[in-house]
Amino acid sequence: MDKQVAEQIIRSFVGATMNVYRSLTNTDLAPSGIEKAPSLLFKASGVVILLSFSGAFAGRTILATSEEMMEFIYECIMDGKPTQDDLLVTANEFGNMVVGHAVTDINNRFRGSNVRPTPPSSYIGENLTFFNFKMSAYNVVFKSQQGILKLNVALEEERK
Amino acid sequence: MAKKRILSVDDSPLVRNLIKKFLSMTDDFEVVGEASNGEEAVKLFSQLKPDIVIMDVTMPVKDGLEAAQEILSKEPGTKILLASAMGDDDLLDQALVIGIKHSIQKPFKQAQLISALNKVLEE
Repeated sequence: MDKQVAEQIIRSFVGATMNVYRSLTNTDLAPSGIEKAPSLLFKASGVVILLSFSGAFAGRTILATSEEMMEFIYECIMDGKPTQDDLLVTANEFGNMVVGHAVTDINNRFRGSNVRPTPPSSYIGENLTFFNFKMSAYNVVFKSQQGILKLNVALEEERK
Repeated sequence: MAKKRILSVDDSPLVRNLIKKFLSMTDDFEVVGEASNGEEAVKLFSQLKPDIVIMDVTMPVKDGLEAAQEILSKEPGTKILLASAMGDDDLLDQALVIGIKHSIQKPFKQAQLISALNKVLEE
């Protein structure tokens, strides 16, 4: 994949994450720079959301944060304290919205690319490890008053 | 004036609950049915005959565009508001071809949802 295209795709995900988070919580995320992942492994603890996307550009996105931050997002949307199931449902929808917005931006910039997301999967656990096989991955760390949100976007190296 | 009856279709219980919460705070709309996929939506639409369908796009079993097409083929003129996290021009063009003229991108605020529903009613 062309380097400039890859950078634009990552920027689309960064912008989408910030916009969706702001829209849901009325607070901001401060992103670090975009860094090429130093290894094929991505490790996270807490709440992890996994989504893929396919089309002219294909890859996989991981969003990882703490249960506390996901609880904060839930409480900004709904009333009351969330159960663990509520946290997973919130994580799924947050991931769905982030990827939906990113894909919208990508499709509008690269007309005809027809990128579409898959349904998300969310997990709660400690020391979860993901392996980005045959993909180039990029990391962005967002800071907010509620804690840290990590974004890992892995792009397929070559579509056959 | 009678409340406008809404069928809310989304695979996320969080979004369905949010829509119900937003509309329960108004005098103009009420959610009369909820579906978590396109197939359920088509069945419920036939039973409930709602005034407006709020339809997600990406759902299991049958997606929102397919379900909307089926509903519109049976009941042309049905008022449908597309509510998706996606909102790219290609998707909106596909929706327009089917006959869906109005959309709202998730996440949305209560005022945005009410405004979008009023636009659908004015159609």
